[in-house]
Amino acid sequence: MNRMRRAGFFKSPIWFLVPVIIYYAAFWIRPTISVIIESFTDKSGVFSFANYVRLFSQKSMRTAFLNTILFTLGSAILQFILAFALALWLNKKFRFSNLVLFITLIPMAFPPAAVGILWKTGLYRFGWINSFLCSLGLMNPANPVDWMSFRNLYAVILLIIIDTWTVLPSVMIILLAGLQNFNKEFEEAGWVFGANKFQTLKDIVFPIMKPTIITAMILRMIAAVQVWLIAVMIFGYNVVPFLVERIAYNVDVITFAKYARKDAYTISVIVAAIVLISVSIYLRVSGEKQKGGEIA
Amino acid sequence: MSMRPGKLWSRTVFLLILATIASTVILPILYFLTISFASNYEAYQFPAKIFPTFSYSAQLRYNAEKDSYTLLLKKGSTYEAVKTTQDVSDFSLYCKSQLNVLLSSAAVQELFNKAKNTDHALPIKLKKNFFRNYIVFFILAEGSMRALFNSLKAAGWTILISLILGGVSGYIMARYKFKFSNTFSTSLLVVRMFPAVALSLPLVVYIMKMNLYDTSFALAIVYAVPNIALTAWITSSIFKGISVELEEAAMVFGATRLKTLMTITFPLAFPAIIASSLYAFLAAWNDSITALIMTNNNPTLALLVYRTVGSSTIPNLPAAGAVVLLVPSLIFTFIIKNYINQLWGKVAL
Amino acid sequence: MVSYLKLNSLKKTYPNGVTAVKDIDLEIEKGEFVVILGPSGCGKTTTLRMLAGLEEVTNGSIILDGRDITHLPPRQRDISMIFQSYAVWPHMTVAENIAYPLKLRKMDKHTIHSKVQEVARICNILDYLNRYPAQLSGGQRQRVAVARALAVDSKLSLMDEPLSNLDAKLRTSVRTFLKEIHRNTGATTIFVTHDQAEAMALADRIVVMNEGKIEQVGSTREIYNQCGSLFTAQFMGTPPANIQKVSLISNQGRLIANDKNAETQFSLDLGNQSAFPGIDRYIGEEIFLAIRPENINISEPKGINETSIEIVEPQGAYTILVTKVFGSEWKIMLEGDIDIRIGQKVSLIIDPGKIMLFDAQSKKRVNFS
Repeated sequence: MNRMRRAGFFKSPIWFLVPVIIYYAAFWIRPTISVIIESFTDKSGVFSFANYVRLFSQKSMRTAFLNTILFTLGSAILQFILAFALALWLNKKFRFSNLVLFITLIPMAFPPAAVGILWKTGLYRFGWINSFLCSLGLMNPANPVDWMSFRNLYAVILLIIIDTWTVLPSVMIILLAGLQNFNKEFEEAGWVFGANKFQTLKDIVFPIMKPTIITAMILRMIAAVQVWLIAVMIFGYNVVPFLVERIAYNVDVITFAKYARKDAYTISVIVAAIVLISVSIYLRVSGEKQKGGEIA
Repeated sequence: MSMRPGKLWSRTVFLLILATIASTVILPILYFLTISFASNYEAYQFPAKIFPTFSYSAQLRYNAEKDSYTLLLKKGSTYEAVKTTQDVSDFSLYCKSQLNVLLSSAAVQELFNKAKNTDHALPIKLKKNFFRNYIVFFILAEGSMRALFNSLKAAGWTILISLILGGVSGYIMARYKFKFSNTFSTSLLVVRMFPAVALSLPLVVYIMKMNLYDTSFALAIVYAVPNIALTAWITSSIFKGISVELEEAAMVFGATRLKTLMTITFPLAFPAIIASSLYAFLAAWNDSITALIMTNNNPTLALLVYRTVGSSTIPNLPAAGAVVLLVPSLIFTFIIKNYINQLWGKVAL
Repeated sequence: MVSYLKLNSLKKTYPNGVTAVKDIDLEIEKGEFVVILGPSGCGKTTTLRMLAGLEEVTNGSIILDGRDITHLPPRQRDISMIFQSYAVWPHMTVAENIAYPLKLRKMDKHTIHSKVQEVARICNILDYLNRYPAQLSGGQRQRVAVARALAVDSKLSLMDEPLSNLDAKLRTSVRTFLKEIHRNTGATTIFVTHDQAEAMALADRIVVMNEGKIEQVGSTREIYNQCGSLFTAQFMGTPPANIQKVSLISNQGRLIANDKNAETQFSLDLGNQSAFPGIDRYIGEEIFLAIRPENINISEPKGINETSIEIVEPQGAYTILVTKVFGSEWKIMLEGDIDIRIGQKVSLIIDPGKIMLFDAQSKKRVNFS
């Protein structure tokens, strides 16, 4: 601060931030405001809730909303449990743990388009999932299951499983980093003073890891809310609707429909709102860190 | 050596978990890779193979009554007739398009002659042109190479914009505490998490007005929005770790601020710069939705692969495209993973 | 008499082949305050962790109060421990930290509450009971760690360099505090440190360790004055003992130490040979000579052991003089404020009873008074 005062106001480094601020004003603030305004105005430019009303009166939209929530929560819970267990296991540093870590991380490197193809080739009736099950003798080659005919809840569950395959390593790696920076003596103090392995996990490791866990889960949920590509590649449009899938549908398929543009804008606002709510919950919870004490 | 029963049990469970993880990750990938090398004929086979094949065991049978030749391919323990023809070029075309086997007309004629002189069926081995799918996808199909370059260009611009704007912000945030620095970093946090979808839609309009629609640069503008914030966060973490005194020492010994930045700060912050670039690259390389919104005739590779799935009935060609899409992503993700401990270990976000 | 804590041939080898602790045999009485002292890497912390159950024992056994605890998990050993980083759980208040071990032992709420109050009063942290560790200073956190260990009435109290992270002033006051607690509770305590001054102040007995083995076990006096090996002589004492490899000759009944390289013509008269029984076989041989700075006195030059003073370091209560003996720097520690000039010639006066001689190969003590 003193440095700044001595150098004079115009030499202050704040001026170097101006390009960034301009960039964000142009390419973030302005578009965000325009999207919000667009969603709250009808076709003639008058302020109204018509877009929202119209959207929520559509069954496909309500299903999309429900599916998105189901998917986000379901995948978050499943991925948290698996990722935490995996991170605890890998943290033990057994002989080949580096190799196992490497293998576990591979799915994380897959672009969503590649994941879509990977699983599409697996899920159709003559795909590799059924091939594998047949070679194990668990399925009759004459009567393979058509996974892609799943609908509703089963389809969402299938997508959660596929998403977990792709995304689990990225959650796990954040938790693993947290565990590796965890002072082992906290655990050892627990053991010395009478806690068994389970109690140590519950009373000591878990609470101290809370900030890391919340960070990982919030990031995960924000990405999960925006799921669309996997659903479209495997099931196609309109079969298992999700919020961003609806946007893509409006942009790519029914591009010139009457309300396509408005719908796309309005749904983006809804998605953005959900994300912002999650972020503020995160900020509030991580503010608890002050009360909970920092990691020594 | 006898282990205590408790140890034997835990060793078994350990190996079981290991096997489950390895197979869950590796099996799908193996199948996927094999499909990318599969010919059209192989793609229709069920059950699918887990390892790619390099050649076909086949038979060529001469049918005297019709003066035709039948190609039979080995399937399990029997041979399945797949093509019957009299014409050499017809046969050659079939081999090329359905089997990924390249045989010149002369070679086919030679086979025909041999078959004619053989009593029953002539056993032959047809060698696959192993990378044919990749060649078809990238060289023969239209637009694939261009899409690849579009992806690279978009990624390059994204890295450039993110590093310049983000790196500067990161440095300032690390070194100076000014009145609204907290607001600034919180807002960067919000921006980082903001869904790109909500930005791309309105930005398309401006992009069109600026005559940048359907260009990699336009894509980079959108990709850079969260990446500038991410770069700022990564670099500010690193810069905070580089003691101010190192810079002050340089300046005491005569270097200007600019020289100090270039010779001392920048080299020390190199890992952060690499990590930020890789994240920026992956953001641009992997995205489909923004490309969907903002391009039309100049898609990125990720978007192209997505589109190809819809248009073809069998997955072998799109799989080849997906594998190429996958390779840089794999490489860079593995480089980054070494930095993730640095990034996530200390700071909670 | 069966000792309270017995370590039998304790050995620790890591999977990569490194043997950190090689055959430790030790017997400890109930209520003793034993300090394991040694440089980093000597195996002292590994030994402590084996006692705690935090490291697996490769070979050997640990018997505590008649019970073989060698392979028991820590929580079944009835021990308490103060860690080097204190390990005060950051997500619990001070009170919760102290209460947690008691809760695990299924004590009832009232007992826990009164115990927490009691130890908090002893450790002077009553005001902080509802605070979180992040709000405390390092010294306060350390006291929380002490209180937590104190609240558990365990058979064995382990301390892993608990004072190393404190600043110098706090270190000495907490040292006294720990000794006071031991006096009041009489708990059997094993304390690990690399600071020999700390060890001497606290210990009933000191166990000096080096390279995974025990060098010497004894009381503070024994360890300091009756050094059994060159290592102990080098390790103990501030300023450190003056050590030199010399060759011994006998001259008219006097034992003389000569510079082994004969570069300098310096000879040190060690005194009457009769004061060194059994030294005969080392005459004409090389040997290690060690003399503590406080055991050297000076007088006006008298022709024997003459040197000149090169540096004077007044320390208030005592003065350190630096001189050259056998071409190396030797330190002399004298009580009080000494009036001496640089370059002044003096004769060194050494009490033969305080000279320590060590075999050149085995490094073991050869003269005992």
